[in-house]
Amino acid sequence: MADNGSTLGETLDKVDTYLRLQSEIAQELRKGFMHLAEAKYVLGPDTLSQFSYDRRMQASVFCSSKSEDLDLDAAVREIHLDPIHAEPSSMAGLRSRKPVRKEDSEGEGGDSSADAIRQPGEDDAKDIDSNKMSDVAAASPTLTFKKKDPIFMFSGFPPKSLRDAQSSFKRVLDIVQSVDLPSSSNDRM
Amino acid sequence: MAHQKDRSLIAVIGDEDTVTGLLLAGVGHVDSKQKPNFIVVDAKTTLATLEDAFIEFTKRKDIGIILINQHVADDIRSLVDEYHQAFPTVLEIPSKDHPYDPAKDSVLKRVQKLFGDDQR
Repeated sequence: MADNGSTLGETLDKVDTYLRLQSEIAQELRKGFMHLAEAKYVLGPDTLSQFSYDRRMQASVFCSSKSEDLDLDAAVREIHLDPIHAEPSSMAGLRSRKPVRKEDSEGEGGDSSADAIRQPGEDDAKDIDSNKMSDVAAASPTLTFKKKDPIFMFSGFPPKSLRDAQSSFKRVLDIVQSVDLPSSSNDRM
Repeated sequence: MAHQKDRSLIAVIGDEDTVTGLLLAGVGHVDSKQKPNFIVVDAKTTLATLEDAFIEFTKRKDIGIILINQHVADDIRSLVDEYHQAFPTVLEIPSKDHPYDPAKDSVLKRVQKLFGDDQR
């Protein structure tokens, strides 16, 4: 009898929470639809229609699982190479400023004019390579992957209303994730 | 049997505004077989198409949640009310022109039925 009472209480609490979350979903959806209508007015109704959907779109939002093994960050990657730390072969042959070394300027006062004139070629390549080695050692290139923001499916320069709509619908998804449906305990029913 | 972790996608069955908005949020996915996880329901959508889409989404192993506009769910009410699987979870949401009605929600109907059976 006591067990039935506690189960009943838990179920009623769940129903109450469910109704509250449904109300929050409705509120956020109302805001989202309003911003979407505003964006349609700015961009035109044909821009925000099913005919603008990317037929190769990939999801960037997923149901979260309680398992710690699921790594949502693994779904977000972007290849990014710092252009300064490009391959040495691409820098060979390019003229660059030779760093002024104090020992050269101080110790070798009797340099001939021929030596003082920079000779592009081997010396420069060696300097570039040595600089590059130290730079590469100092900073490792970042390697991350990134999926395309779905907002760009509709506009290359999305207006504020479209971004607001996106935020509202994202909040809807956050609320959906927190809904603990009584249907998940279907066995008892 | 698909593990719960594999069910990561959120499917959408709704009108154009609802689907567009949720696609903006990032749920849209088209797999390698060109099968999307969403369907736009309009005046031209037949009942058979709608039913087939619902059944397909409930059978897919990569979908964890199905969001369906309540007014669309009303068109296939018998199918939605008879759905008892835990996954994918079916959640009815309001649309722009049709507010949420708790009396029609299949989840709450099941709870009501439960209390009704207990009282007998």
